[in-house]
Amino acid sequence: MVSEQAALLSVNEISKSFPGILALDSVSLTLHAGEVHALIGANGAGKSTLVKIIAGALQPDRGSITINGKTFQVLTPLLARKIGIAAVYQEQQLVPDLTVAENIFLGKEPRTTFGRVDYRRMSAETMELIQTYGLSIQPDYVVGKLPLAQRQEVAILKALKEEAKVLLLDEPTAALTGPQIAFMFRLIEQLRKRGMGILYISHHIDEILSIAQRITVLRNGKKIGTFLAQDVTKEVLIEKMAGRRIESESRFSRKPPGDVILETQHLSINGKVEKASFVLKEGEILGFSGAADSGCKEVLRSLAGLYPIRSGGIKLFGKTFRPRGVADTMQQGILFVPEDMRREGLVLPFPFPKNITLAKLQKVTSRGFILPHREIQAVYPYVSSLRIVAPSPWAETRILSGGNQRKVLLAKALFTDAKIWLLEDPTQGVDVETRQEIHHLLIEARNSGKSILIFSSDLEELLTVSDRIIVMYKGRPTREIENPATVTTQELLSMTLGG
Amino acid sequence: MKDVFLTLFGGRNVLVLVLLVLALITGIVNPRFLTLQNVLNIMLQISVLGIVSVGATILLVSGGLDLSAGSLLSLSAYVAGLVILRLQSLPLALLVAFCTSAGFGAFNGLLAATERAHPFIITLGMMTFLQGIAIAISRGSPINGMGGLYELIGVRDFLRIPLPVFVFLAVLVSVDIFLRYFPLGRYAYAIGGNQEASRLSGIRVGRVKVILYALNGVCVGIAAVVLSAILDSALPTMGSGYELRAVAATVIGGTPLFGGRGSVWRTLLGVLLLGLVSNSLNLMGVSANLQNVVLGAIMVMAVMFQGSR
Repeated sequence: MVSEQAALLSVNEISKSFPGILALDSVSLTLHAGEVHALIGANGAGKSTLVKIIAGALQPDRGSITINGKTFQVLTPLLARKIGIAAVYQEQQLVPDLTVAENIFLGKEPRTTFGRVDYRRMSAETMELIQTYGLSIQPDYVVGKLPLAQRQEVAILKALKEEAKVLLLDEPTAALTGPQIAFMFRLIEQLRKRGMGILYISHHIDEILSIAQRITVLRNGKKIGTFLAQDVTKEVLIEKMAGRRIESESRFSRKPPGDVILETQHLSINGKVEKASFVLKEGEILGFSGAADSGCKEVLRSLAGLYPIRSGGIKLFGKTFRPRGVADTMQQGILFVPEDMRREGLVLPFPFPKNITLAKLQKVTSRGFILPHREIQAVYPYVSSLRIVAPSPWAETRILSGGNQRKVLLAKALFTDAKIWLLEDPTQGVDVETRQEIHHLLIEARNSGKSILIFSSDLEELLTVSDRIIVMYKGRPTREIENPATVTTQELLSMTLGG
Repeated sequence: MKDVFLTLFGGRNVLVLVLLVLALITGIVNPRFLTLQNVLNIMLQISVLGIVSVGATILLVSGGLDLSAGSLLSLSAYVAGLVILRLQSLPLALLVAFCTSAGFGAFNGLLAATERAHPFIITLGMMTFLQGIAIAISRGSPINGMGGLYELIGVRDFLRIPLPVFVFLAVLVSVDIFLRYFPLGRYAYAIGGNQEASRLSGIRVGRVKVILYALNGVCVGIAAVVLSAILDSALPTMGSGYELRAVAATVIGGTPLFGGRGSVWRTLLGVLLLGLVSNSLNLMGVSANLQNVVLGAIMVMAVMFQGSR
């Protein structure tokens, strides 16, 4: 029986509070050698806080962590690494300007007899590691130039080199597409068989059920329970996470769209997109599906005025339109909502209402002055209809949970009254419930006459919300799906892979 | 224990506390400190630094920085002095001073808006460049007598409060209103907090930066006029050192160097602290050489406290 095995790592009644919230309320957890233990919960449930405490990045208020029989009250990142805990976060702690080998050996470079760094040995040992796990990177690749999937592999290799016994993976598949995910899973399985204990955080319950042996559910900082993966179903887990039953999402009804409002003719973007022609109608959600090199993101970003267009034309409301920068496209009623909200979407030190009004301050000014009371009034309907949860009406955006930050980003989009929305992965990193709320919001926006171009790496999401889907492959649109209801996720996946 | 300490003394509160304790101790040691005359003295002494610091706050909030402020102050004051010396026209002199400071300020902004280099490097170069111009046109000699400017601002007072103090307060309040109630002021915080997000929100980042740097230039110009009025002269190096003390005062006040937060009221606290410390050291008879040691140590300690939040 699994539970009788010796625990590799145990978390003992850890509590942690932040101003205004109890993030973790005496949570305990054990991790065995050779298991993948999934940690799930809605946004703000305390998963990230727990992982940060185990990795030593945060200090708990109470409780302790036991690893290899030794108990620690407080860990620092350095100490955690020393005792065999390695964390692979989405935002990784790799040095982008160094090579794969240099990153893996950082701080422990082998020396020659003269005390200089032994690059040859470094490179050879890295190559050995790469081959053991069947990876496709090279020791001398510069990490900053690698795609995210491979940067993650480097981070895992680094953990292996440090002889980590516990691996913390926070949403390792968030930015990956089909085959990359399968590859990541094979890698994790290999590590597990070697006796590593893996704590795996994800929002994708299907993934978790296929890879984890045990699953711990957190809700509002409390542990709901630990379950064997074979004993639970997706529905049960979602219910435990939310604390109530959530109907699984049906596909939304379609509505006949209106006139064409945006049209591209042979749109080409240097090296990324070749001759993409499509139309967007009023009151329509047009999905874009494709892998990382498909050019979908570039299409959206060029319409937003972020990428120069090499050739081809755009017609907006029947008139020729050449995007000249974001400020210009916004004046034309086009709004771009980036996927990476922390880097490109939100001003994190701002109280969140200021983020909502930022793209359309004119709505809360009078004779050129911002009226604070009008700003609060103007923001209120959005906060309540999107159910943005914050400790206070002027809480900094930084301290909101990921799901609430996403909602702020969408509230900001709603606030601008733009006619056309360009969305990039609008539900990335949010929990099932918030995801459904956001989907409803998009449908409502569509029904009120907005036109939405949505790119998502989440194929299920595309099939759920889109009225029409354009599949792109290597910079060209290859398919157009007129009725997404007739297509399965599998079929869409194979289309995005060029099938 | 640590938490209690932080809530009581963390952030800005610690500064108010330090200011009060400092005032009290100095007052006990030397009763002259708490006289009205001395308080007015301190306010006069900090007014020029205060004006430059308010300008620096605009830039720090937006993630910018201007190391050329001191040189620009010297240059603006000197060209104003030249106009007075040659043309005997005070209004023209003021106009030329403001054009110089706002113009070079905007130029700094233009360079910063290209995003080719960090403003630290750009304005470091401009610092040498502007200082060079000031020394070259002056050939190192000062101008004595600012033709009426001294009588107009330098010695005048209202309700016994020196006029430069009013100028400082006026600048402070105007910039506070600008930062809080003008869309441009809001954009300054937004750009400092997340430039990419600001750009994607439709803010014309480059344009805003030029305006903010020009406004900083205007503050420097006002400081130049006030300082030369107080001294009734213009020296080609009179502003050197102001740029760093202004940044120090701003950061001590609690506006972080990396932007997105801060306010001019915090800066006022920082400026007051620096002014109080040097005044009380003077009154306690600490030698000028030793004063810098104490002042430097206090700057470091204050900033460390701000960092603990």
